[in-house]
Amino acid sequence: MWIYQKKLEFPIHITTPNPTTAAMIISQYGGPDGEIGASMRYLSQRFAMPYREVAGLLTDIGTEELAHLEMMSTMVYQLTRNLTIDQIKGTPFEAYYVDHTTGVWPQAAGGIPFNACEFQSKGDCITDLFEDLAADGTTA
Amino acid sequence: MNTDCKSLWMKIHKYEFALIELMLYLDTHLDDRCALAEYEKIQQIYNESVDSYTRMYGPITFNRVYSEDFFTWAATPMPWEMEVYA
Repeated sequence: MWIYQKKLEFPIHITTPNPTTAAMIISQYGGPDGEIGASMRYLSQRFAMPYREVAGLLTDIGTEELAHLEMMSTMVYQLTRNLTIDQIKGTPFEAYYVDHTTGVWPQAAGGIPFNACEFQSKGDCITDLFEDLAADGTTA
Repeated sequence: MNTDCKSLWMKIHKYEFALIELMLYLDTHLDDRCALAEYEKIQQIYNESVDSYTRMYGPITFNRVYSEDFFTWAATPMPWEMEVYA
């Protein structure tokens, strides 16, 4: 199980909202290489890991990815708080706003919703580890 | 958030981050005595900082509520709120 810590892994304090940045940053939350994919990947693949200490490592990494997920969604939230419609019109955040207003919803920068097809879990630890390298070697 | 509170808050984040990274290393290097000694050192500072913060400003986890008349766990700001660093 998990228990919640009422803190971020690192404090985030964005004083100037910016809808254009939010529209890009959101991909690191719910995009194909985002933190939801990363956390779900490790937390799903760990069951097929035959070495206990490595299964533990995958659990600890997956847990840290959840902390990254919370930081990314916090950035989206703070980048879009108190925006007026006029500040959003004509920015790349406009289309997102039509469907979600400033609600935080996991999608890629291109508007594709997060889905489990962003990662694999093949029941073979070597295959899974290569998938981790491909996925997490490019992002954090 | 006053200066003392903020500095303790930042200290907790700093030491927790170090602890997490060391934990990930130790997960696959179970008998590295040098890393273990470092883990023990950081763990102690971290635990003391969390303890001081919790007693002065409220719980970071739900199992550290030390109030008889108010459920402080639900009253402190969520971590994404701007007032966390106000």
